[in-house]
Amino acid sequence: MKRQVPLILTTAMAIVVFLSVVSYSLTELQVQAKIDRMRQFMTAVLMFMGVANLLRVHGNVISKKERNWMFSGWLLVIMFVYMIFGMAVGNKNLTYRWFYDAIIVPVNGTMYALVAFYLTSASYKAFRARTAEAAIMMVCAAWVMVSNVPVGDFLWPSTSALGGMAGIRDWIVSVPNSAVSRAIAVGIFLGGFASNLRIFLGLERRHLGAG
Amino acid sequence: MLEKLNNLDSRWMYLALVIVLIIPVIKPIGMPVSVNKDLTQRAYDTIGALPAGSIVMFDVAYSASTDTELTPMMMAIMEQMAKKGLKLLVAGQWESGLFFVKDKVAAKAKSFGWKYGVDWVNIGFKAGGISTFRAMATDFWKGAMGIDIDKTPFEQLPIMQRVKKLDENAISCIVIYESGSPGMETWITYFPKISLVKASVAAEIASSVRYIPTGQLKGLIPGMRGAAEYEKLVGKPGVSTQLMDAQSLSCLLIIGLIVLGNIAFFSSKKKAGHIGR
Repeated sequence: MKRQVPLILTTAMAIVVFLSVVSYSLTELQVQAKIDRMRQFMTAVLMFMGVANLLRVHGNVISKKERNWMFSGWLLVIMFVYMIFGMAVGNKNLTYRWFYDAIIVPVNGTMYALVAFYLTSASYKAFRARTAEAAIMMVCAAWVMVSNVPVGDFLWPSTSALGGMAGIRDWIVSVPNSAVSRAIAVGIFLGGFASNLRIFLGLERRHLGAG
Repeated sequence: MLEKLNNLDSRWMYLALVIVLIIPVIKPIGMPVSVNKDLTQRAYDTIGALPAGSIVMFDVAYSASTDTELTPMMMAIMEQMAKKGLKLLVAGQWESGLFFVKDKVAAKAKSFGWKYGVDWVNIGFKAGGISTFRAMATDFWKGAMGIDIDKTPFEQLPIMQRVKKLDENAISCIVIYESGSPGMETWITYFPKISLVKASVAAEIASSVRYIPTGQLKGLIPGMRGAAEYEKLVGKPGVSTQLMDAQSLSCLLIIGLIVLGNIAFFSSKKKAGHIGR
C-alpha cells in the first residue's frame, strides 16, 4: 500500500499531464494551466519541506556532536534568524537588505572571482599537451580565449583575411562546438525521456524506496 | 632550473594575476573593442527594431556572483530602451537575482525619468518555476499572483493593463540575463513565439551559440566582452569597457602560463627519455 498508492498517483498524473498536452479537448479546458497552478502551490510547500529537512539533518549532527557540528548550528541560527527577521519586517526593510547587500553579495562575488586564480594555476599545472586530442583542445581553448578579448583584435584584426582571430573563433564555436553541443543535448533529452517513461510505466521505483 | 619551473609555486601565479588585473584598472591601455556582428550586433538590432511603446521583459536569472558580467549589460540595454521609448517589465527565475538588481534597475529607471507602473514595473520573483510562467501564458495576473515585488496590486499599475497574457502580443521581446539553470530553456521550450535575446556569462556561450542559426535566439551578448560591445553600441562606455584591458592582460598571462607549463612538461619528459614512448 505504501508503494502502490504513490505509484498509482504518479502514473495517473503522468497520464493526465500527457493528455492535457496532446488532447485537443483537454487543451481547450486549460487543464495544463490548472495543473501548473497546483504545481506553483506545491513548489511553495516544498520550501517548508526544505527547511524541515535541513533542520532534521543538521539537528542530528548537532545532537550527536559530530565533527564540525558548530557549523551546522551556525547554519540553523542564520537560517531561522534571517527568515523570521525577513517575515517580520518585509524585504523593503533597510537592515534586512543591508545583510544581503553587505554579506551575500560580496561573498558570492568573491567566491566566483576565486575561479580566476584556480584557472591561472590550472593553466600552468594541468593544461598539458599529453596527447594529440589534448593538444587540439588546448589550442582551440587558447584561441577562443584570446580572440574574446580586445588583444585578439590587436594581434589579428577582424578586418583582415578569414575575419582575423575572431573569424576563426566564430567557426570553432559555431561549427564543431555547436555540432557536439547539439549531440549532447539530444542525448540528454533521450536519456531524460527514457527515465520519464520508466517512471510512467512503473518500472522505475527507486523514488518510492524500492530497488 | 627545470626543476624549479616544474615546481613553480602557485602563489607566484596568483601574484602575477593580481598585478595584471590591477595595473590596467589604474592605468588603462584603451585597446579598441570591435562588435561581434553575429552575436551582440544581432541583440542590439533586435531590440532596436521594436516599435516605441513595446514592452520588453527582463528575466533575471543570475545572482550576485556574476554581477560584473551581467549587470552592465542590463544597464546598457536600458539605455537603448530609453532612447527607443520602450517599456520595461522586470521578472525573473532566480529569487536572489531579483532581490539583488531591484535597486539598480530602479536607480537607472529614475535617471531616465521613467514613472513606475507606467513606463516600467518589477513583478518580482514568483515561486513555481516553469509552471508559473506557463500559468502566466493563460492568465498573467493570476499566474503572477496579481502583485508586484512590493505587493502593489496590478490594478494600480497602468502598464499591467497591457499584460493580461504572457504572449507575443503583450511582450515584444524577452531579454534573459542568465548564468545557469533555470534559464533560456523555459522561453525556448514554452514561448517560442516571443523574440528572445540572451545576455550570458562567458562560460555559457559555447552551449548557447547553437540557438542563433536556428533563430531560437535573436541575439546573444557574450560575457563582459559583450557588455563592453553593447556599451559601445549605445555610446555609453561603462565599467565593462574599463575592465576589458584587465581581461586582455589576464588572458595573455594564462596563455603564457600554458606555454611555460608545456615547455617544462616536455623538457622534463625529454630529460627523462620518455619522449615518443
